Amino acid sequence: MTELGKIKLVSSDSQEFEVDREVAAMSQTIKNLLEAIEDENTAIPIENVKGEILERVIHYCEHHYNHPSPKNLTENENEYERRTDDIEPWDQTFCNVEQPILFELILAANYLDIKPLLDVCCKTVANLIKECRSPEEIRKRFKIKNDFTKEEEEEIRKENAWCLDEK
Amino acid sequence: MTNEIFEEVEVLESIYEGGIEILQPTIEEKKEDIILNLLIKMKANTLDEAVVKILVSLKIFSTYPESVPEIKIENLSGKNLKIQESEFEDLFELVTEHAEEMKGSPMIFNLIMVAQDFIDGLDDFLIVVNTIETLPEDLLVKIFNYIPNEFYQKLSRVCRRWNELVISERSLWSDLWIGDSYTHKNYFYRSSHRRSSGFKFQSINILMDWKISQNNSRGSIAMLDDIFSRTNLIADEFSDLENLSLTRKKNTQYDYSTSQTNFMKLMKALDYSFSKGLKSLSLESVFQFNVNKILQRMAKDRFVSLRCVNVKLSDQVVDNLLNPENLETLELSTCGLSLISDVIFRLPNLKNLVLNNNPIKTLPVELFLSESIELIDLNNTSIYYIEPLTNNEMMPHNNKLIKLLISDSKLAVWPPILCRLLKLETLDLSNNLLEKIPNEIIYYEKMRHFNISSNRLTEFPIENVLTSWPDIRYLNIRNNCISDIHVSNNIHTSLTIFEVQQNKISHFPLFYFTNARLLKNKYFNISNNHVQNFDDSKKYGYLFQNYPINFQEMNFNGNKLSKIPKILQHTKKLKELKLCNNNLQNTINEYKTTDEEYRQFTSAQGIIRLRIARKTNTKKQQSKTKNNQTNKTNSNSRKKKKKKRSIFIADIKKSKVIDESEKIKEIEKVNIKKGINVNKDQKLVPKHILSNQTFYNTEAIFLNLSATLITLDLSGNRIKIFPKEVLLLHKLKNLYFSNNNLLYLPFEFLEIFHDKLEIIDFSRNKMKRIPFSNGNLFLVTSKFLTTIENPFTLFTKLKSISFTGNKIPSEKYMKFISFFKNSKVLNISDN
Repeated sequence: MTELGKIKLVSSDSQEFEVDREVAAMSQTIKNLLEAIEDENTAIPIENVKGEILERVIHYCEHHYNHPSPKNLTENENEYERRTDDIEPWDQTFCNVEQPILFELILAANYLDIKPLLDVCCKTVANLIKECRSPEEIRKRFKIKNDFTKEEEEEIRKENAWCLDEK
Repeated sequence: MTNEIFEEVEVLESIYEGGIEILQPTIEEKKEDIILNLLIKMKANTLDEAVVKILVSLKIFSTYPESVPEIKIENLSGKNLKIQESEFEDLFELVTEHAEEMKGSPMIFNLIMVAQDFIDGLDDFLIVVNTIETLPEDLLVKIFNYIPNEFYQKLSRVCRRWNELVISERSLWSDLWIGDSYTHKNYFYRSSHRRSSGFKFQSINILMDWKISQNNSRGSIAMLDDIFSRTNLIADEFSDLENLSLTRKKNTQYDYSTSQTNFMKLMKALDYSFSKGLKSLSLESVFQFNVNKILQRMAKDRFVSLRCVNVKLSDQVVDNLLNPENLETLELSTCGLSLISDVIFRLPNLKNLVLNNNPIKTLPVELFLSESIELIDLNNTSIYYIEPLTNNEMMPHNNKLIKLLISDSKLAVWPPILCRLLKLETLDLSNNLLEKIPNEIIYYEKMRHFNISSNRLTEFPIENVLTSWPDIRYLNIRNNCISDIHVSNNIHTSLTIFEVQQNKISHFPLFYFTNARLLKNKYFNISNNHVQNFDDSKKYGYLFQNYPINFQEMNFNGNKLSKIPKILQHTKKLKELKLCNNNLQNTINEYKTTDEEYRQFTSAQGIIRLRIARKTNTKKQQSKTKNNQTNKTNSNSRKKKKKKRSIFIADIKKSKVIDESEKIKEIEKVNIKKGINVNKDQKLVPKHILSNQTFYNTEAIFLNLSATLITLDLSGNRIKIFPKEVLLLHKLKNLYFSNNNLLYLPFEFLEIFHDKLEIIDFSRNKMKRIPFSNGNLFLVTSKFLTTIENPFTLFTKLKSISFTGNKIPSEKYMKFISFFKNSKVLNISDN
C-alpha cells in the first residue's frame, strides 16, 4: 500500500521510489500513465531510467514543485528561447555533475517528458560547448573522435577560410 | 623462452583476428622479464558500434612458465560501454586464480581465453556510458539550438556527425540568432552544401541588449552590415528572409553618438536585395530619429506585418509609407500619431489595426466601413468623437469587425456607428465618459466580452442584455452610478464573470446564485454599493442550499449591511471575508451566551493551551492552596469564578479542564444518539447552537466559517464590543478591526488567538490602554508563575500589529512598541 496521494515508481534496476502524485505528474509521460492506470497502488515501471538517475530526477521535481519559479508563470519564450545565461543557481548546482550523468539526465528528461529539466540540462551542455575556443577543445572535452580525413578537414578549412579566427 | 611466448601470442592473434591487439611487448633483456600488453576488444551484441576494451598487462618472468606472471587488468571504457566495476573485479579474480592453477605450463593463451569467455557471458552487465555521441539527433539539435549561430563553424569542424547536422538541420538556421559573442571575424559557418541545398533564412532576430552593453548593440549592427556587405556570396540565402525584428529593450544603455553611424550601416544593408522578400518587420524602441527612412526604403509590396512600438513617427510618414496590398497587421503604438491616415483604411487586406497610446482625437467613419478589418485597438487615445454615417455611405454587409477596443479615451456620447457593428464579439469602452447606453446594444448577438466599466452610466439594461446575448462570458459594469440591476430569477446565462463593484446597487439579483458558471468563481465582489440586506428575500435560503458555493473570497466592503449575510452559512471554501465599512455594529453580539456555556465551547475546541491568571501577589498563595485542593473544592471554585468571570478567564485548573472535556464528550454522545450531524471541524459544539442551526443566527454562520476562514476584515463598522463570534474562528490568521469603537478586548482573545494570528490591526479604535497590559497578567507554566509584561509577545506567529489612532497615552504606547524591538514582528506602526 502506498500512502494517500503518493505513487510508486520503479527504475530499470528495480529500485522503488515513493513520490507525491502531483510531483510525479510533472513528467508528462507519468501523468499520461497515471490517467490510464485505474488502480492507485500500481507501481509504475520507468524502464529506461536507472535508479541513480531517477532519484536525481525526483529530487529535481520535488524542488521545483515546492519552489515554482516565477519565470514559468510569465513565459516569454520566443524572445529568450535561446539564451543560456538564465539558469537558476539551484539548477546550476543540480546540473554540475559528470558528463555521463548529465547525458543520462537528458535522456531521462526526454523520455519522461519533463520540459524544464530537459531545457536546463541542454542549456548546461550548450554552455560547456560555448566555453570551448576551438573544435579541438570541444573534441577533448566531450571525448569525441575526430573522424574527418585530412582531405576533408582541409576542405572545410578552405570553405571557412574567410571567417576563421583561430589558427 | 621468449620465442615460446611469441608463439602463443601469434596463435592468439590468428584466432581472434583483430579482437586482440598487442601493444608494445617490451623485453627487458637483463632480467629477461617480458611485459606483454594485450588489448582485448569486443563488440557488444546489442549495440553495433559499442566496443568494450580490457587491457591485460602481463609481466612474464624469466622462470615462466614455472612462475606465474604478474597480472594487471584495466577496464577501459570503449566508445560508450564499460563493464560494471563489480563484474570487473570478478574477472580479475578469475584470471589470477586460473593463472595459479595453470602454473607450470604455458598459460597466456588460456588466460586470454578465460577472460574472453567471461566477457562474452557478460552482455547484460555492460553499463552504457553516455557521452554526447550517444545522444539521439533531435536532442543534439536541441542543444545546438542554445548556441548562437556564430559558433556553428566551430561545431561543424568537430566531427562528421556534427558537420552534417549543422549543414542539414534546417531548424538551426531558419531563425538566425545573433548573440553577444559576435565579432565580424567570427562569422557563422557557411558551406557549399548548404548553398546547394537551397537553404534560406526565414527570419533574423536581433536583440540589441543581449547583455546590456554598448559593444553589443554595436556588434549587432556591425554584424548586420557584415551580412549584407557579403551579399555577393550569400545573397541567395537571404532572398527569402521573411521576418526581421530589431528590439532595443528598455533601460539599455545606448550610445547615441555611434547610433548615427550604425544607422547608416543598417540603411546600406537594408538597401540590399534581401528586403524584397521581407514580410514582417518589427521595430521596437530603436533608432528613434530615423525610423522613417527605414520604412521608406523598405520594398513594401509584400509586407504582411509591420510593427513599430515606441518609435516617433510623423503623420506624413504613414502616408508615404504604405502602399502594400498584402498588409494584414499594422501596429503603430506609442508613435505620437494624431491623425489616422486615409491610407490605413484603404488597405484592402488589413485585419488587425493597433494604434494604442497615440494622441488621436477623432475617428473617421471610413475605418468602420472596411471589409477586412477584424480588430481595432485604440486604447489609451484621446478619442472623443467618431464620425457617424452620412446619407451617402452604406454599411458594408460583410463588415468583419469582431473586436473593438477604445478604453481610456474621452468618449462622452455613444457613437451611433457602434450600433451598426453587429458582428462584434468584444467591445471595450472602459474608462470613458459615457452617460447613456442605447437599447440597440441588445442586437450584438455575438457579444462575448463587454466592458463598460468606469463610465458615468446611471442605468444598464441588464435583463435585456442577458436575454439577448447568448454567448456573453464577461460583463463589466463596475465603477458607474448604476442603482438598479434587477433581473428575473429564472434567467439562464453563459456569463462567467460579472463585475458590479462601485455602483449604487441596493438589491443584488438572485440570478447570480442560480447560474453554475457564476458560482464557480473564486471571488465574489459587490464592494462599494448600497446593499442593505444582501439576502432578505425568502428565496435565498432555498437557493444557497441547492447550489454549491465555491467562493474563496467574498467582498462586501463599503455597503450598508446591517446583518451578516446568510449566504455565509452555506459557503464551503471561504478563506477571506471582507465586511469593511458596513453597519454591523448591532447584529454581531446580539446573541449572548452564558459564560459557562461559552467556556464549555471554547475549551472543547481544544483552544486552551495557555493558562493565564490575573491575580495580585497577595492572592497568589491562596491560589496555590486552592490548587492543592482542587479535587475537593472544584465546585466551590467554579462558583467563585463565575462571579469573577468579568475579570479573569484563564485560571482553569487542570482537573477542571479534564472535567469539562469529559462533560463535552458526554454531550457529544448524546448528540450522536439524537442523530444530530456533528461536523468534523465543528464537533463538540454546544447543544443550543447545533439545534438552532437551521435558523438565522450569527453563531451558526461563524461556526460554518470557522472551518475555512483565514482572513476577516470588520473594519469601519462602529462596533463597540469585540464580537465573541469571531473567537470561534479557530483558523483565523489575519484580523483587521480598525476604525471601530472598541474600548477593550476580551481575555478570550489572548487565550484563543495567541498561537494563531499573524496580522492584528486594531488601529483607530477607542482603547485607552494596550489590551491585557495592566501588569497583572501571569503566565502559568507547569511549574512557574511568570509575570507577563507584554502580552503580545505571547502571539507566537505575529507578523504585524497595529494600535495606532487609539486613545492610548503615548508613553505607554512607546513602551509597547519597545517590546517588539529586535523581534520578527514587522510593521509596528507608531502612534
